Amino acid sequence: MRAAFIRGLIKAAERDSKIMLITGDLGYRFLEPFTEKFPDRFINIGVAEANLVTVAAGLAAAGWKPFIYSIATFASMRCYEQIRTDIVMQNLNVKIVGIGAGLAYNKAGPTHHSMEDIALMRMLPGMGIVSPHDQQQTEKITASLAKTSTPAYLRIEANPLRQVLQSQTLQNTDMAFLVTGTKLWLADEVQKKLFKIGIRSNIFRFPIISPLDKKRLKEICRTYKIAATIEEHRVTGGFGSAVGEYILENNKTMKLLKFGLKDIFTPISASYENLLKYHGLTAGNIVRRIISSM
Amino acid sequence: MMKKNIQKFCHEVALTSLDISYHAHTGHIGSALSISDLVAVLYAGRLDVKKDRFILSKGHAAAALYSVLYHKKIMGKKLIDSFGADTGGLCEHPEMKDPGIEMTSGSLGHGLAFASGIALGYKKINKKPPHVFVLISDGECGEGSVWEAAIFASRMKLDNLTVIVDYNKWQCFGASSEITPLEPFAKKWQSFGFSVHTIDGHNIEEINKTYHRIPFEKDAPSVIIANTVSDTAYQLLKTSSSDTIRYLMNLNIKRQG
Repeated sequence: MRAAFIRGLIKAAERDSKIMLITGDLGYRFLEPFTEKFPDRFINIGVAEANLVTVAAGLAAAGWKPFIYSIATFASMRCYEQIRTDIVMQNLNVKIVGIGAGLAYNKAGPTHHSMEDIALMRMLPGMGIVSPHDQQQTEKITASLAKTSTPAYLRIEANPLRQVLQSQTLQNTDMAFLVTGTKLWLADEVQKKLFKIGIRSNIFRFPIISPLDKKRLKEICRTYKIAATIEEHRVTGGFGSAVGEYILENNKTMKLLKFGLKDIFTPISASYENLLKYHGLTAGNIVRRIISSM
Repeated sequence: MMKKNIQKFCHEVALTSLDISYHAHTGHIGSALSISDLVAVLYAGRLDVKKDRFILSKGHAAAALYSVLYHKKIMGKKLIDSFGADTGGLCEHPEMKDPGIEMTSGSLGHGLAFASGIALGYKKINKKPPHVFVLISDGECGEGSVWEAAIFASRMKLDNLTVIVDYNKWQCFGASSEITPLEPFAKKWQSFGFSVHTIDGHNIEEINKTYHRIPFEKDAPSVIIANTVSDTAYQLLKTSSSDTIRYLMNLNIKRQG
Protein backbone atom coordinates (compact mmCIF):
# COMPACT_ATOMS: atom_id res chain seq x y z
CA MET A 1 0.00 0.00 0.00
CA ARG A 2 2.88 2.38 0.86
CA ALA A 3 4.64 1.63 -2.41
CA ALA A 4 1.35 2.22 -4.25
CA PHE A 5 0.98 5.57 -2.53
CA ILE A 6 4.46 6.58 -3.65
CA ARG A 7 3.72 5.50 -7.23
CA GLY A 8 0.59 7.66 -7.20
CA LEU A 9 2.45 10.61 -5.70
CA ILE A 10 5.22 10.40 -8.30
CA LYS A 11 2.60 10.51 -11.05
CA ALA A 12 1.06 13.57 -9.46
CA ALA A 13 4.43 15.27 -8.94
CA GLU A 14 5.35 14.74 -12.59
CA ARG A 15 2.27 16.72 -13.57
CA ASP A 16 2.37 19.35 -10.84
CA SER A 17 5.65 20.99 -9.84
CA LYS A 18 4.16 22.27 -6.55
CA ILE A 19 3.63 18.82 -5.01
CA MET A 20 5.97 18.15 -2.07
CA LEU A 21 6.54 15.17 0.20
CA ILE A 22 7.39 15.82 3.84
CA THR A 23 8.01 13.03 6.31
CA GLY A 24 8.37 12.86 10.05
CA ASP A 25 11.45 10.64 9.78
CA LEU A 26 9.45 7.63 8.59
CA GLY A 27 9.17 5.75 5.32
CA TYR A 28 12.80 4.68 5.01
CA ARG A 29 13.11 2.27 2.02
CA PHE A 30 9.66 3.31 0.72
CA LEU A 31 10.01 6.99 -0.10
CA GLU A 32 13.23 6.71 -2.12
CA PRO A 33 11.60 6.46 -5.58
CA PHE A 34 10.15 9.93 -4.88
CA THR A 35 13.15 11.44 -3.10
CA GLU A 36 15.55 10.35 -5.84
CA LYS A 37 13.34 11.76 -8.56
CA PHE A 38 12.41 15.01 -6.78
CA PRO A 39 15.15 15.73 -4.22
CA ASP A 40 14.17 19.43 -4.06
CA ARG A 41 10.60 18.57 -3.23
CA PHE A 42 11.30 16.27 -0.31
CA ILE A 43 11.96 17.20 3.31
CA ASN A 44 12.53 14.95 6.27
CA ILE A 45 11.37 17.21 9.10
CA GLY A 46 12.65 14.82 11.76
CA VAL A 47 10.84 13.41 14.77
CA ALA A 48 8.59 16.44 15.31
CA GLU A 49 4.98 15.91 14.23
CA ALA A 50 3.68 19.26 15.44
CA ASN A 51 6.36 20.96 13.38
CA LEU A 52 5.65 18.62 10.46
CA VAL A 53 2.03 19.77 10.27
CA THR A 54 2.54 23.48 10.87
CA VAL A 55 5.53 23.83 8.54
CA ALA A 56 3.44 22.09 5.86
CA ALA A 57 0.63 24.59 6.51
CA GLY A 58 3.14 27.43 6.07
CA LEU A 59 4.41 25.91 2.82
CA ALA A 60 0.82 25.66 1.60
CA ALA A 61 0.30 29.32 2.52
CA ALA A 62 3.27 30.09 0.27
CA GLY A 63 1.71 28.19 -2.65
CA TRP A 64 3.13 24.67 -2.26
CA LYS A 65 1.05 21.46 -2.11
CA PRO A 66 2.57 19.31 0.63
CA PHE A 67 1.76 15.66 1.38
CA ILE A 68 2.87 14.86 4.90
CA TYR A 69 3.76 11.30 5.78
CA SER A 70 3.91 9.46 9.09
CA ILE A 71 2.51 6.43 10.91
CA ALA A 72 -1.25 7.01 11.25
CA THR A 73 -1.22 7.35 15.06
CA PHE A 74 1.43 10.06 14.99
CA ALA A 75 0.13 11.76 11.83
CA SER A 76 -3.37 12.09 13.26
CA MET A 77 -3.10 12.30 17.04
CA ARG A 78 0.23 13.69 18.11
CA CYS A 79 -0.44 16.87 16.18
CA TYR A 80 -4.24 16.96 16.21
CA GLU A 81 -4.59 20.56 17.31
CA GLN A 82 -2.06 21.64 14.68
CA ILE A 83 -4.16 19.85 12.02
CA ARG A 84 -7.32 21.53 13.30
CA THR A 85 -5.92 25.05 13.65
CA ASP A 86 -3.23 25.37 11.03
CA ILE A 87 -4.56 23.19 8.21
CA VAL A 88 -8.32 22.81 8.48
CA MET A 89 -9.34 26.10 10.11
CA GLN A 90 -7.27 27.99 7.55
CA ASN A 91 -8.46 25.65 4.77
CA LEU A 92 -4.92 25.08 3.47
CA ASN A 93 -4.08 22.52 0.83
CA VAL A 94 -2.20 19.95 2.89
CA LYS A 95 -2.73 16.21 2.54
CA ILE A 96 -2.02 14.03 5.56
CA VAL A 97 -0.98 10.48 4.84
CA GLY A 98 -1.36 8.12 7.79
CA ILE A 99 0.35 4.83 7.03
CA GLY A 100 0.01 1.54 8.88
CA ALA A 101 -3.51 2.48 9.96
CA GLY A 102 -5.55 0.01 11.98
CA LEU A 103 -3.52 -2.93 13.26
CA ALA A 104 -0.87 -2.96 10.53
CA TYR A 105 1.91 -2.60 13.12
CA ASN A 106 0.62 -5.76 14.75
CA LYS A 107 3.71 -6.56 16.78
CA ALA A 108 4.60 -2.97 17.68
CA GLY A 109 2.06 -2.63 20.46
CA PRO A 110 -0.85 -0.23 20.96
CA THR A 111 1.20 2.99 20.62
CA HIS A 112 1.32 2.06 16.94
CA HIS A 113 -2.27 0.77 16.54
CA SER A 114 -4.24 3.53 14.85
CA MET A 115 -7.80 2.81 15.87
CA GLU A 116 -9.18 6.32 16.44
CA ASP A 117 -7.90 8.32 13.46
CA ILE A 118 -11.13 8.23 11.41
CA ALA A 119 -13.10 9.45 14.44
CA LEU A 120 -10.66 12.32 15.00
CA MET A 121 -10.60 13.41 11.37
CA ARG A 122 -14.41 13.21 11.13
CA MET A 123 -14.60 15.95 13.76
CA LEU A 124 -12.89 18.44 11.48
CA PRO A 125 -15.32 20.30 9.20
CA GLY A 126 -14.06 20.37 5.62
CA MET A 127 -11.54 17.56 6.10
CA GLY A 128 -11.73 14.82 3.46
CA ILE A 129 -11.12 11.23 4.62
CA VAL A 130 -10.13 8.51 2.18
CA SER A 131 -9.38 4.89 2.99
CA PRO A 132 -8.54 2.88 -0.15
CA HIS A 133 -9.40 -0.82 -0.55
CA ASP A 134 -6.21 -2.02 -2.25
CA GLN A 135 -2.92 -1.03 -3.87
CA GLN A 136 -4.41 -0.20 -7.24
CA GLN A 137 -6.96 2.13 -5.71
CA THR A 138 -4.35 3.72 -3.42
CA GLU A 139 -2.27 4.72 -6.41
CA LYS A 140 -5.28 6.10 -8.27
CA ILE A 141 -6.72 7.95 -5.28
CA THR A 142 -3.36 9.53 -4.39
CA ALA A 143 -3.05 10.93 -7.89
CA SER A 144 -6.58 12.30 -7.86
CA LEU A 145 -6.28 13.72 -4.33
CA ALA A 146 -3.31 15.70 -5.58
CA LYS A 147 -5.64 17.52 -7.97
CA THR A 148 -7.89 18.80 -5.17
CA SER A 149 -7.18 22.01 -3.28
CA THR A 150 -8.68 21.25 0.14
CA PRO A 151 -7.29 19.37 3.16
CA ALA A 152 -7.61 15.59 3.26
CA TYR A 153 -6.52 12.59 5.30
CA LEU A 154 -5.38 9.54 3.35
CA ARG A 155 -5.65 6.44 5.51
CA ILE A 156 -3.31 3.66 4.40
CA GLU A 157 -3.88 0.29 6.05
CA ALA A 158 -1.89 -2.95 5.76
CA ASN A 159 -1.94 -4.70 2.39
CA PRO A 160 -5.20 -6.59 1.91
CA LEU A 161 -4.76 -10.29 2.73
CA ARG A 162 -6.57 -11.23 -0.47
CA GLN A 163 -7.41 -9.34 -3.62
CA VAL A 164 -11.11 -9.07 -4.37
CA LEU A 165 -12.39 -8.61 -7.87
CA GLN A 166 -15.38 -6.41 -8.52
CA SER A 167 -18.26 -8.72 -7.61
CA GLN A 168 -21.50 -8.93 -9.51
CA THR A 169 -24.47 -7.12 -8.02
CA LEU A 170 -27.06 -9.69 -6.95
CA GLN A 171 -30.82 -9.18 -7.22
CA ASN A 172 -33.29 -10.05 -4.44
CA THR A 173 -30.77 -9.68 -1.68
CA ASP A 174 -31.32 -9.80 2.08
CA MET A 175 -28.68 -7.39 3.28
CA ALA A 176 -25.93 -4.93 2.35
CA PHE A 177 -22.31 -4.65 3.42
CA LEU A 178 -20.75 -1.21 3.50
CA VAL A 179 -16.99 -1.45 3.56
CA THR A 180 -14.16 1.04 3.87
CA GLY A 181 -10.44 0.34 3.66
CA THR A 182 -8.81 -2.98 3.00
CA LYS A 183 -11.42 -5.09 4.81
CA LEU A 184 -12.99 -5.80 1.44
CA TRP A 185 -11.52 -9.33 1.55
CA LEU A 186 -13.25 -9.89 4.88
CA ALA A 187 -16.60 -8.69 3.51
CA ASP A 188 -16.07 -10.98 0.53
CA GLU A 189 -15.50 -13.99 2.80
CA VAL A 190 -18.55 -13.16 4.88
CA GLN A 191 -20.66 -12.73 1.76
CA LYS A 192 -19.62 -16.17 0.45
CA LYS A 193 -20.27 -17.88 3.79
CA LEU A 194 -23.71 -16.30 4.05
CA PHE A 195 -24.53 -17.24 0.45
CA LYS A 196 -23.91 -20.90 1.29
CA ILE A 197 -26.60 -20.79 3.96
CA GLY A 198 -29.04 -18.94 1.77
CA ILE A 199 -28.47 -15.32 2.82
CA ARG A 200 -27.90 -13.15 -0.23
CA SER A 201 -26.01 -9.87 0.11
CA ASN A 202 -24.29 -7.11 -1.84
CA ILE A 203 -21.08 -5.29 -0.97
CA PHE A 204 -20.87 -1.51 -1.34
CA ARG A 205 -17.41 0.02 -1.40
CA PHE A 206 -16.82 3.28 0.44
CA PRO A 207 -13.20 4.36 -0.02
CA ILE A 208 -14.37 7.90 0.72
CA ILE A 209 -15.56 8.33 4.30
CA SER A 210 -15.80 12.14 4.26
CA PRO A 211 -17.69 13.66 2.61
CA LEU A 212 -20.00 10.67 2.93
CA ASP A 213 -21.85 9.76 -0.28
CA LYS A 214 -25.33 10.47 1.08
CA LYS A 215 -27.07 9.90 -2.22
CA ARG A 216 -25.74 6.37 -2.32
CA LEU A 217 -26.61 5.82 1.35
CA LYS A 218 -30.14 6.99 0.69
CA GLU A 219 -30.47 4.44 -2.07
CA ILE A 220 -29.09 1.67 0.16
CA CYS A 221 -31.51 2.62 2.95
CA ARG A 222 -34.38 2.45 0.44
CA THR A 223 -33.39 -1.01 -0.78
CA TYR A 224 -32.31 -2.84 2.38
CA LYS A 225 -33.83 -3.60 5.78
CA ILE A 226 -30.48 -4.61 7.25
CA ALA A 227 -26.91 -3.53 6.61
CA ALA A 228 -23.49 -4.04 8.17
CA THR A 229 -20.41 -1.82 8.12
CA ILE A 230 -16.93 -3.31 8.22
CA GLU A 231 -13.80 -1.30 8.99
CA GLU A 232 -10.44 -1.69 10.72
CA HIS A 233 -11.08 1.11 13.22
CA ARG A 234 -12.87 1.29 16.53
CA VAL A 235 -16.60 0.72 16.20
CA THR A 236 -16.96 3.95 18.14
CA GLY A 237 -16.70 7.06 16.01
CA GLY A 238 -15.56 5.55 12.74
CA PHE A 239 -17.16 4.81 9.38
CA GLY A 240 -19.95 2.74 10.95
CA SER A 241 -20.80 5.61 13.26
CA ALA A 242 -20.95 7.98 10.30
CA VAL A 243 -23.41 5.66 8.53
CA GLY A 244 -25.39 5.26 11.78
CA GLU A 245 -25.64 9.02 12.19
CA TYR A 246 -27.00 9.33 8.67
CA ILE A 247 -29.66 6.68 9.39
CA LEU A 248 -30.75 8.36 12.63
CA GLU A 249 -30.73 11.89 11.30
CA ASN A 250 -32.75 10.93 8.25
CA ASN A 251 -35.30 8.79 10.07
CA LYS A 252 -34.36 5.69 8.12
CA THR A 253 -35.47 2.33 9.44
CA MET A 254 -32.60 0.21 8.10
CA LYS A 255 -31.07 -1.90 10.87
CA LEU A 256 -27.31 -1.39 11.15
CA LEU A 257 -24.68 -3.76 12.51
CA LYS A 258 -21.22 -2.28 13.00
CA PHE A 259 -18.10 -4.41 12.72
CA GLY A 260 -14.72 -3.03 13.63
CA LEU A 261 -12.15 -2.99 16.40
CA LYS A 262 -13.20 -3.29 20.02
CA ASP A 263 -13.02 -0.33 22.38
CA ILE A 264 -9.90 -1.66 24.05
CA PHE A 265 -6.13 -1.38 23.66
CA THR A 266 -4.32 -4.58 22.66
CA PRO A 267 -0.88 -4.63 24.31
CA ILE A 268 0.12 -7.99 22.82
CA SER A 269 2.38 -9.04 20.02
CA ALA A 270 0.49 -11.16 17.52
CA SER A 271 0.28 -11.88 13.81
CA TYR A 272 -1.97 -9.48 11.90
CA GLU A 273 -4.65 -12.16 11.48
CA ASN A 274 -4.50 -13.14 15.15
CA LEU A 275 -4.85 -9.54 16.22
CA LEU A 276 -7.93 -9.17 14.01
CA LYS A 277 -9.26 -12.34 15.63
CA TYR A 278 -8.61 -10.87 19.08
CA HIS A 279 -10.85 -7.96 18.07
CA GLY A 280 -13.50 -10.31 16.71
CA LEU A 281 -12.92 -9.16 13.16
CA THR A 282 -13.26 -12.58 11.50
CA ALA A 283 -15.68 -13.92 8.92
CA GLY A 284 -17.01 -16.57 11.35
CA ASN A 285 -17.76 -14.06 14.08
CA ILE A 286 -19.43 -11.61 11.71
CA VAL A 287 -21.59 -14.39 10.19
CA ARG A 288 -22.68 -15.55 13.67
CA ARG A 289 -23.71 -12.06 14.71
CA ILE A 290 -25.61 -11.50 11.49
CA ILE A 291 -27.53 -14.77 11.81
CA SER A 292 -28.46 -14.08 15.43
CA SER A 293 -29.73 -10.62 14.55
CA MET A 294 -31.92 -11.76 11.66
CA MET B 1 8.41 57.24 7.55
CA MET B 2 10.39 59.99 9.35
CA LYS B 3 11.45 59.44 12.95
CA LYS B 4 8.94 61.97 14.32
CA ASN B 5 6.16 60.42 12.25
CA ILE B 6 7.00 56.92 13.45
CA GLN B 7 6.74 58.17 17.02
CA LYS B 8 3.33 59.67 16.27
CA PHE B 9 2.24 56.48 14.52
CA CYS B 10 3.26 54.38 17.56
CA HIS B 11 1.33 56.70 19.85
CA GLU B 12 -1.81 56.47 17.70
CA VAL B 13 -1.55 52.69 17.54
CA ALA B 14 -1.26 52.41 21.33
CA LEU B 15 -4.24 54.71 21.80
CA THR B 16 -6.38 52.80 19.34
CA SER B 17 -5.41 49.50 21.04
CA LEU B 18 -6.62 50.97 24.32
CA ASP B 19 -9.77 52.40 22.77
CA ILE B 20 -10.94 49.22 21.09
CA SER B 21 -10.09 47.15 24.17
CA TYR B 22 -12.04 49.56 26.33
CA HIS B 23 -15.08 49.53 24.06
CA ALA B 24 -15.03 45.74 23.84
CA HIS B 25 -14.21 45.40 27.56
CA THR B 26 -11.69 42.72 26.68
CA GLY B 27 -8.58 41.67 28.51
CA HIS B 28 -5.03 41.22 27.25
CA ILE B 29 -4.49 44.96 27.17
CA GLY B 30 -1.07 44.71 28.78
CA SER B 31 -0.08 42.13 26.20
CA ALA B 32 -1.21 44.35 23.34
CA LEU B 33 0.62 47.36 24.79
CA SER B 34 3.86 45.49 25.27
CA ILE B 35 4.01 44.75 21.53
CA SER B 36 2.33 47.82 20.05
CA ASP B 37 5.61 49.71 19.47
CA LEU B 38 7.29 46.62 17.99
CA VAL B 39 4.47 46.05 15.50
CA ALA B 40 3.89 49.71 14.71
CA VAL B 41 7.56 50.36 13.90
CA LEU B 42 7.70 47.25 11.72
CA TYR B 43 4.72 48.37 9.63
CA ALA B 44 5.96 51.97 9.58
CA GLY B 45 9.23 50.99 7.94
CA ARG B 46 10.90 47.66 7.35
CA LEU B 47 7.88 45.56 6.39
CA ASP B 48 6.80 45.66 2.76
CA VAL B 49 3.14 44.69 3.09
CA LYS B 50 2.98 43.85 -0.61
CA LYS B 51 5.38 40.91 -0.28
CA ASP B 52 6.67 40.40 3.26
CA ARG B 53 4.54 38.73 5.90
CA PHE B 54 3.93 39.40 9.57
CA ILE B 55 2.61 36.56 11.74
CA LEU B 56 1.27 37.40 15.19
CA SER B 57 1.82 34.16 17.05
CA LYS B 58 0.76 35.58 20.41
CA GLY B 59 -2.73 36.06 19.05
CA HIS B 60 -4.12 37.37 22.34
CA ALA B 61 -2.41 40.69 21.58
CA ALA B 62 -4.53 41.11 18.43
CA ALA B 63 -5.73 44.58 19.47
CA ALA B 64 -2.27 45.98 18.67
CA LEU B 65 -2.18 44.35 15.22
CA TYR B 66 -5.72 45.46 14.38
CA SER B 67 -4.77 49.02 15.37
CA VAL B 68 -1.69 48.98 13.15
CA LEU B 69 -3.72 47.62 10.23
CA TYR B 70 -6.33 50.29 10.83
CA HIS B 71 -3.79 53.13 10.81
CA LYS B 72 -2.15 51.60 7.71
CA LYS B 73 -5.63 51.70 6.10
CA ILE B 74 -5.61 47.94 5.55
CA MET B 75 -8.53 47.50 7.93
CA GLY B 76 -11.56 49.83 7.77
CA LYS B 77 -13.10 51.82 10.60
CA LYS B 78 -16.27 49.76 10.68
CA LEU B 79 -14.32 46.54 10.98
CA ILE B 80 -11.96 47.66 13.74
CA ASP B 81 -14.91 49.09 15.69
CA SER B 82 -16.44 45.60 15.62
CA PHE B 83 -13.61 44.20 17.81
CA GLY B 84 -15.16 41.85 20.36
CA ALA B 85 -18.69 42.81 19.26
CA ASP B 86 -21.82 40.91 20.30
CA THR B 87 -23.18 40.71 16.78
CA GLY B 88 -20.37 39.24 14.71
CA GLY B 89 -17.13 41.20 14.57
CA LEU B 90 -13.37 40.92 14.85
CA CYS B 91 -12.39 38.14 17.24
CA GLU B 92 -10.13 38.68 20.23
CA HIS B 93 -7.58 36.54 18.37
CA PRO B 94 -6.68 37.11 14.66
CA GLU B 95 -8.52 35.21 11.92
CA MET B 96 -7.00 34.63 8.51
CA LYS B 97 -10.25 35.69 6.82
CA ASP B 98 -9.80 39.30 7.97
CA PRO B 99 -7.83 41.84 5.89
CA GLY B 100 -4.10 41.92 6.59
CA ILE B 101 -4.17 38.84 8.83
CA GLU B 102 -1.69 36.18 7.72
CA MET B 103 -2.52 33.48 10.23
CA THR B 104 -5.37 32.34 12.43
CA SER B 105 -3.65 32.41 15.81
CA GLY B 106 -4.66 32.23 19.43
CA SER B 107 -3.34 28.80 20.17
CA LEU B 108 0.23 29.41 21.29
CA GLY B 109 3.28 27.71 19.83
CA HIS B 110 2.10 27.59 16.21
CA GLY B 111 3.44 30.83 14.72
CA LEU B 112 7.14 30.04 14.45
CA ALA B 113 6.59 26.75 12.59
CA PHE B 114 4.03 28.38 10.29
CA ALA B 115 6.35 31.29 9.56
CA SER B 116 9.21 28.85 8.93
CA GLY B 117 7.07 26.98 6.39
CA ILE B 118 6.27 30.21 4.55
CA ALA B 119 9.90 31.40 4.68
CA LEU B 120 11.07 28.06 3.28
CA GLY B 121 8.34 28.11 0.63
CA TYR B 122 9.51 31.55 -0.51
CA LYS B 123 13.17 30.60 -0.42
CA LYS B 124 12.60 27.63 -2.69
CA ILE B 125 11.40 29.81 -5.56
CA ASN B 126 13.04 33.23 -5.06
CA LYS B 127 16.65 34.29 -5.20
CA LYS B 128 15.68 37.31 -3.10
CA PRO B 129 12.84 35.87 -1.05
CA PRO B 130 10.36 38.07 0.85
CA HIS B 131 10.93 38.29 4.59
CA VAL B 132 8.71 36.63 7.19
CA PHE B 133 8.42 38.15 10.65
CA VAL B 134 6.84 36.29 13.53
CA LEU B 135 6.12 37.76 16.93
CA ILE B 136 5.98 35.33 19.84
CA SER B 137 5.66 35.82 23.58
CA ASP B 138 8.04 34.75 26.31
CA GLY B 139 5.42 32.60 28.04
CA GLU B 140 4.76 30.96 24.66
CA CYS B 141 8.32 29.62 24.73
CA GLY B 142 7.03 27.04 27.20
CA GLU B 143 5.48 25.29 24.18
CA GLY B 144 7.76 22.55 22.86
CA SER B 145 6.64 23.24 19.30
CA VAL B 146 8.49 26.60 19.43
CA TRP B 147 11.76 24.73 19.82
CA GLU B 148 10.87 22.07 17.23
CA ALA B 149 10.46 24.96 14.80
CA ALA B 150 13.63 26.68 16.00
CA ILE B 151 15.71 23.58 15.20
CA PHE B 152 14.07 23.41 11.78
CA ALA B 153 14.44 27.11 10.86
CA SER B 154 18.12 27.02 11.71
CA ARG B 155 18.70 23.76 9.85
CA MET B 156 17.04 25.23 6.75
CA LYS B 157 19.20 28.38 7.02
CA LEU B 158 16.13 30.61 6.90
CA ASP B 159 17.77 34.03 6.83
CA ASN B 160 14.49 35.42 5.50
CA LEU B 161 12.88 34.66 8.87
CA THR B 162 12.93 36.92 11.92
CA VAL B 163 11.50 36.03 15.29
CA ILE B 164 10.57 38.91 17.55
CA VAL B 165 10.19 37.81 21.16
CA ASP B 166 8.07 40.02 23.36
CA TYR B 167 10.04 39.57 26.57
CA ASN B 168 7.67 41.30 28.98
CA LYS B 169 8.45 38.74 31.68
CA TRP B 170 4.87 38.19 32.72
CA GLN B 171 2.45 35.41 32.01
CA CYS B 172 -1.04 34.58 33.22
CA PHE B 173 -0.21 33.57 36.80
CA GLY B 174 2.82 35.73 37.42
CA ALA B 175 6.48 36.24 36.59
CA SER B 176 7.72 34.10 33.72
CA SER B 177 11.03 33.68 35.59
CA GLU B 178 9.10 31.57 38.11
CA ILE B 179 6.83 29.71 35.67
CA THR B 180 8.88 29.39 32.48
CA PRO B 181 12.47 30.30 33.36
CA LEU B 182 14.10 31.18 30.06
CA GLU B 183 17.49 32.59 31.05
CA PRO B 184 20.04 32.54 29.62
CA PHE B 185 17.52 33.42 26.92
CA ALA B 186 19.81 34.90 24.26
CA LYS B 187 22.18 31.96 24.67
CA LYS B 188 19.30 29.54 24.20
CA TRP B 189 18.49 31.04 20.80
CA GLN B 190 22.16 31.22 19.89
CA SER B 191 22.62 27.56 20.69
CA PHE B 192 19.67 26.79 18.40
CA GLY B 193 21.54 28.52 15.55
CA PHE B 194 19.84 31.93 15.59
CA SER B 195 21.57 35.26 15.25
CA VAL B 196 20.41 37.21 18.29
CA HIS B 197 19.92 40.90 19.06
CA THR B 198 18.56 42.08 22.38
CA ILE B 199 16.85 45.47 22.35
CA ASP B 200 14.64 47.80 24.36
CA GLY B 201 11.23 47.05 22.89
CA HIS B 202 9.99 50.56 23.54
CA ASN B 203 12.92 52.52 22.13
CA ILE B 204 11.49 53.36 18.76
CA GLU B 205 14.77 54.38 17.19
CA GLU B 206 16.52 51.23 18.41
CA ILE B 207 13.67 49.02 17.16
CA ASN B 208 13.72 50.69 13.75
CA LYS B 209 17.49 50.48 13.39
CA THR B 210 17.50 46.82 14.38
CA TYR B 211 14.76 45.99 11.85
CA HIS B 212 16.81 47.58 9.09
CA ARG B 213 19.86 45.46 9.95
CA ILE B 214 17.97 42.23 9.28
CA PRO B 215 19.17 39.61 8.37
CA PHE B 216 21.84 39.82 11.03
CA GLU B 217 23.75 36.97 9.48
CA LYS B 218 23.74 35.11 6.17
CA ASP B 219 22.22 31.62 6.30
CA ALA B 220 20.88 32.01 9.84
CA PRO B 221 17.44 32.99 11.09
CA SER B 222 17.35 36.17 13.16
CA VAL B 223 15.80 36.71 16.56
CA ILE B 224 15.16 39.98 18.31
CA ILE B 225 14.66 39.66 22.04
CA ALA B 226 12.70 42.78 22.87
CA ASN B 227 12.65 43.74 26.51
CA THR B 228 9.22 45.20 27.03
CA VAL B 229 6.95 46.31 29.84
CA SER B 230 3.27 45.47 29.61
CA ASP B 231 2.18 48.91 30.73
CA THR B 232 4.81 51.14 29.12
CA ALA B 233 2.40 52.68 26.68
CA TYR B 234 -0.06 53.09 29.50
CA GLN B 235 2.50 54.98 31.58
CA LEU B 236 3.03 57.34 28.66
CA LEU B 237 -0.64 57.84 28.11
CA LYS B 238 -1.93 58.16 31.63
CA THR B 239 -1.67 61.92 31.64
CA SER B 240 -4.74 61.95 29.43
CA SER B 241 -8.05 61.78 31.26
CA SER B 242 -10.24 59.70 28.99
CA ASP B 243 -12.76 57.05 30.01
CA THR B 244 -10.38 54.51 28.60
CA ILE B 245 -7.70 55.41 31.10
CA ARG B 246 -10.16 55.40 33.99
CA TYR B 247 -11.25 51.90 32.98
CA LEU B 248 -7.65 50.77 32.79
CA MET B 249 -6.86 52.20 36.21
CA ASN B 250 -9.11 49.49 37.61
CA LEU B 251 -7.25 46.72 35.90
CA ASN B 252 -4.12 45.04 37.01
CA ILE B 253 -2.74 45.31 33.54
CA LYS B 254 0.71 44.21 34.57
CA ARG B 255 -0.62 40.69 34.82
CA GLN B 256 -1.82 40.50 31.26
CA GLY B 257 1.49 39.63 29.59
